[in-house]
Amino acid sequence: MLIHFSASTPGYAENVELYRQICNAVTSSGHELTRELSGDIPTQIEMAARGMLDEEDWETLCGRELSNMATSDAVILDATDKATFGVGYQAAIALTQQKPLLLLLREGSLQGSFISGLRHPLLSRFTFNDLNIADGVRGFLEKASQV
Amino acid sequence: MIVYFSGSARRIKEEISIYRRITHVIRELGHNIHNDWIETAWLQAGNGGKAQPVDMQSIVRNAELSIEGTELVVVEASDASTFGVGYETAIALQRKKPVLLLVRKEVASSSYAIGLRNELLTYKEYTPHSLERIVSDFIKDNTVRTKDLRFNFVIDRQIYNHLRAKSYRSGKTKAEVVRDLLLKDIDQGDL
Repeated sequence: MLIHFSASTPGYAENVELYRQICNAVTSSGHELTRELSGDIPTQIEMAARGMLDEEDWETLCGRELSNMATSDAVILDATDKATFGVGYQAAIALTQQKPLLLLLREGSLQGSFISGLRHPLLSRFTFNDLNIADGVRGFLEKASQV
Repeated sequence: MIVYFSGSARRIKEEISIYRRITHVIRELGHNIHNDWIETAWLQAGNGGKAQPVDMQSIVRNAELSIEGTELVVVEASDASTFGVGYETAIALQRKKPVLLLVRKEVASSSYAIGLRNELLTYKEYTPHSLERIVSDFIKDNTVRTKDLRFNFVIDRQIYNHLRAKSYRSGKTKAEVVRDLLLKDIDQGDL
């Protein structure tokens, strides 16, 4: 399957090692990513996290994220971080496009949040810590492969 | 018209005056707010310092139903941490609702919202001085007369014969047949 992984822009800057674990879990399970996270953080995302993008750059970034997602078979989003407006936007698009969606939340972040109230047959949630993240991703991929 | 307002319930204490100004403009123009959650969230926030929703599943479901039943959506998205506001923005656009996306000017440069493009989306950065004018302009620009609209409809003989036969078989007028087809098209989400 082709998997789209995304997170908030500050999330990329702060969690790049964690996100590499997620991406490695995808590729080591025999799936492909719409966008590789190898090497450094993509420059544009890093600039976004630092508030250095102008409107045109943001348009390119958002457009690319959404078109990558449109080509994918399933979507994984980290919904933990501080700037999750875009993650929420992508989550709704993924579900309306009938794509299996995994929302990742760091332990302790789910209580009382909007995410805990979402119900959709294609939606999975996984509360992760540094040790179980790869297992959560693999479990989702197995389930999504059967949809 | 019925308008849905989306904003951060978590930051209700900080944002209440802005939210009230937005909903006040909408009401002043003679429109209704669907599922006005602001005052409920405000009351809850008074008890313990922040909103304490007890049944998030109902809240999310009600929000989705409200968006479905509304004609316009106004979103205040200055707080970038609002997953729910992003989610509701996308749901509204998917349901073909015109959306006004408001972001305070001083935080706009770091907002994902600035990069979104959709023919039904109006993105505006506001200051305390421009807020009312922006909301008012959006509402006025998107107010459609509720009475029936008319337009000329030119068709060829083949379509006319088909329409006449369908009208005869169904007992509906030709206009009703066309209206039903269009409503079916809207239900299927086709544009």
